[in-house]
Amino acid sequence: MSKQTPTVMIVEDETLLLQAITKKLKLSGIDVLSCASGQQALDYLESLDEMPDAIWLDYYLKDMNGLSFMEELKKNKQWATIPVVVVSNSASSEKVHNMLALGVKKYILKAEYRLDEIIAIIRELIADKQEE
Amino acid sequence: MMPGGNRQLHISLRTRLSIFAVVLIIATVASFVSFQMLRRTYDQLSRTLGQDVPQLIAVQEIRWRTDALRYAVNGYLLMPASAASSQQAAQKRTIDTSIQDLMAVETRHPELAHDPLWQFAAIKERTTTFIGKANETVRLRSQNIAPANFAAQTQQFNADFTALDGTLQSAIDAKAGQFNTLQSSTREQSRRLTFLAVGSSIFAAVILPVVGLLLLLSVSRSLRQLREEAGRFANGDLSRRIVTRDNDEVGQLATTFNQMAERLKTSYQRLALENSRDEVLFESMGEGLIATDKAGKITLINDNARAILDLIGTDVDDQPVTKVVNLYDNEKLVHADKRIEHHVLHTKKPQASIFSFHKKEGKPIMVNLDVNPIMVGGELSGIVMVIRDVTHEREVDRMKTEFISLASHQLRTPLSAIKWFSEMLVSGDAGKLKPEQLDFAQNIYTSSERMIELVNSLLNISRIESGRIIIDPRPTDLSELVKGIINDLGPKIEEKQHTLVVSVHKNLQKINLDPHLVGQVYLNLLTNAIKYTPKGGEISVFVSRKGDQVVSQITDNGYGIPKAQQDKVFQKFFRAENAVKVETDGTGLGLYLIKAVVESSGGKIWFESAEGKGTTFWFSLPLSGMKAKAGEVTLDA
Repeated sequence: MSKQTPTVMIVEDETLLLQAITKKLKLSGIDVLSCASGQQALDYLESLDEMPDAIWLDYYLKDMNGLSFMEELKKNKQWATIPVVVVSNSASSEKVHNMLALGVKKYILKAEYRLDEIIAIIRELIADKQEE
Repeated sequence: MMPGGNRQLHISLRTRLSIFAVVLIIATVASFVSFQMLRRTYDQLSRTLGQDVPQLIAVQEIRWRTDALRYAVNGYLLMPASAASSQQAAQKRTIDTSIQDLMAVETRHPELAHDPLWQFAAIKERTTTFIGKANETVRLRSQNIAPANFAAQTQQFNADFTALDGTLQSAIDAKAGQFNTLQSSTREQSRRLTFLAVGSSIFAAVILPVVGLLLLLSVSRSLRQLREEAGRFANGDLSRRIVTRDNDEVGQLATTFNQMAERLKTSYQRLALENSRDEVLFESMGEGLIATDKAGKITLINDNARAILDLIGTDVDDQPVTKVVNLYDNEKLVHADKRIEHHVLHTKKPQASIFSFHKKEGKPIMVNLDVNPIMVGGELSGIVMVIRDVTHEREVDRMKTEFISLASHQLRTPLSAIKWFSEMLVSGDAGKLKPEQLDFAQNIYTSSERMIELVNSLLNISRIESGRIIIDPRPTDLSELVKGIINDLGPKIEEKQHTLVVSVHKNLQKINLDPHLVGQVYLNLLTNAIKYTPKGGEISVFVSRKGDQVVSQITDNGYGIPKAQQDKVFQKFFRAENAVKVETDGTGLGLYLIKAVVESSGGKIWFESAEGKGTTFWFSLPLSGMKAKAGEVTLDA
């Protein structure tokens, strides 16, 4: 499975951040599915024919947290294979541990990274996925 | 002290007993000697009598024999011429016999010559003269000369007799006088000796025992009195003092007892003071307090402990504390054998832990138990437990954590937005910027980075200070750890063209450390060294073993820390004056943070620095490693 332009789903409830991320991803040549809540993201996935290549997930969402989102994702076989990167402001070892256990590929502390660094990480993950 | 009027001779008991013994000996000897002398006096008297009486008899014999001779001579003279010649011859023989007898007395008693008192020479002379006269008279008569013709001789003869008799009488008188003198002197002496002998005997046999008995009784009475008084001390009555007039050993003993009582009284007063102070302390302290004996039975409990542990109005004295108070750990009842009180009683080492306690009403509370052994002279005599209701504290702590977490989340969101938008501005994602605009955007970006670092440091400090930090030790190769950190810092070192020397002790075994925490220490010290050393400087890292410690040394030849500010280096938010000028970026929290990390790991951190010359930091960690700690947070999360 190979595509010209990778698609990344962003789940981020902070409008400003969502705007920045979307803008940067697009400028980097990545298609973006912007979602402002967990439920919106899940509904989106439901309606899509083609799954995104990766999901950028904020841990704390207004309607749910990362844990419950991942659990929902796990319920669908197709969804479960999408690589997820958690980009959060809180990275206690317990949270990181739990999320990695649920199949999250990478857990990133939001303020510590530049956007271009995170995009590089996501590109790597997508490349890894395509190699499989 | 004795009143002046009652001052006594200071005669010790020993001296008194010695005097008593000497007097006893003297009295005994005196009585013995007097008896001896008395006996000797009588011996002498009887000896004198034994010698003198025969002499006296001899002198008397001389006297009556001379008298007999005179009679015989006179009888012969007065005999008529007509008398028969046989009768005359018989009378002459009588005279001769008388003369022989008289001479014989002298011969028999030669000792008479030795006693001048007898004037024996005179007696002898007069006797001889008298015998001569007698013979002369007898011769004249036998020549038949008429008595009238030798009347003068006869008269002379009788006169001589009278003289001799007078001499003898005077000798006898002299002897009698001597006897009288001897008798009276002997009587006097014997009376004196008898008095002395009887007196000293009575003294030795009656008076001295009585004196001795009195002496003993007085000592015994003093001792008994002393015992009674000391008994009062023993029974705790220390208000009185032993009053004694004795100045001897018993008196000294009494004085010693008094001093002892005084000191005891002082000690008791101090103890009483300490006791009441402890009691006040005990009741006024905010914590609950329970003391037990070495069997773990309650001996003391304050009101706070009763309030915390629902024991108000319950008699808990002498009951095992583990039975009276039930504690839970994670909702499970802790068995008496597993309780820390039990451990402290066995290991004699202090221990502290938090348990939950189920009150009769309301929610379970959290109690912090601090158990310490009471050691008296190296022996365990019980434990003291300090009980603190930490429910509220824990709640506040939890809230603080929650608040910090929330605040950090809230702060980090806008900071991320600033960081990312300025990143995009700088990257030209919103079109190419004019040079000044680019400069401004760059400043916004750098400031947001600093702000994020500040938030991270604040978070870490709050974690360290709350003591909730997780320590997760695992066998760590310090060499690898240092290498990894230097690797991460590579770009910064290159940028400043520093020379880096690293030396790690070759045979350093893996140490049980939390690599994340210790890594923070190296990272911080190295970052500082890089930051505060001008371009082209030299930085070295040495890790070595020193006894049971591993000591790390990070040296630079940078700006150094001004002497006047060196004591503030580990203070929160402190930045040295020269450092602020050189490097505006910095929170002043790094050293404060790593000091806390090193110390919570059982290590120490110190430094030496000279302004303009450079700085060396050292930190030590025990080779035995860190103790694991189940906390709640890690650094940088």
